[in-house]
Amino acid sequence: MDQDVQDRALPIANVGRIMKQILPPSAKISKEGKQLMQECVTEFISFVTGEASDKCHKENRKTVNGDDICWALSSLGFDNYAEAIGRYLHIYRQGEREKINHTKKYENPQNQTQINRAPPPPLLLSRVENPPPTNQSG
Amino acid sequence: MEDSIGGSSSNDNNIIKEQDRLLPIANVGRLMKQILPQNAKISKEAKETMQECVSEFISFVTSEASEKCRKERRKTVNGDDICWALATLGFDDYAEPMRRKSRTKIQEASTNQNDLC
Repeated sequence: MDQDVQDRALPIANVGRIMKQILPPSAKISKEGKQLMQECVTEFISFVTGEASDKCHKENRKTVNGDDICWALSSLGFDNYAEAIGRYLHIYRQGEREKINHTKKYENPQNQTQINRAPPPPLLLSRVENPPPTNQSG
Repeated sequence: MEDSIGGSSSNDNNIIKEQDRLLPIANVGRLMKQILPQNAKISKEAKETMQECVSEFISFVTSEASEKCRKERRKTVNGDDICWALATLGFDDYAEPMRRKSRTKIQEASTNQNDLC
């Protein structure tokens, strides 16, 4: 399979695996069925991404984000998807926030302050507090 | 004690692994990138959102095709069932090109078979 075809295709094994989860245990999927679904999915991704890309282009933005995908789904008539994906995005972002908070919490803030604000060594302190008498003669 | 261990392992089997539920993010991202202008970027969040969408799409279409096969007492879901499901679910724009593609592939396969004979 040449590189271009490889880039265009999603792994058929994974597509088949997702399909199999929906079917009853005794059911089977033909190779042609998997290939067709593979092509549908590729088309679906292109379709939605294209719409999201246009939105970003019009708004002079370089990065496509989750909201753009959500908007594209809605714009293309996948309203049920857009609604579900909107909920997913909300949960996803909550999870990301919690992850950040969790990391901050367990970075051991006590050690952090000791490193950042380590008190000067006693010798230095004594020098500052009790400066040696200056030699007046001379 | 042993029972509880057995129970937990069976629960683990019921949980669908992330890699079984979703298509690889690298492949999804690569496909998305091909559509975007060269200077554009895709956030991780957008890729993961698309991953979820795609899984939902596959499940949605497969479920409809599966139902058709069940009613017709057939065990194997084929390309025509997928095309029928797409049309039934309102993806008419997809169904026709896919049906044509499917027919072309079948013809090519039979031609190759004849050549071998």
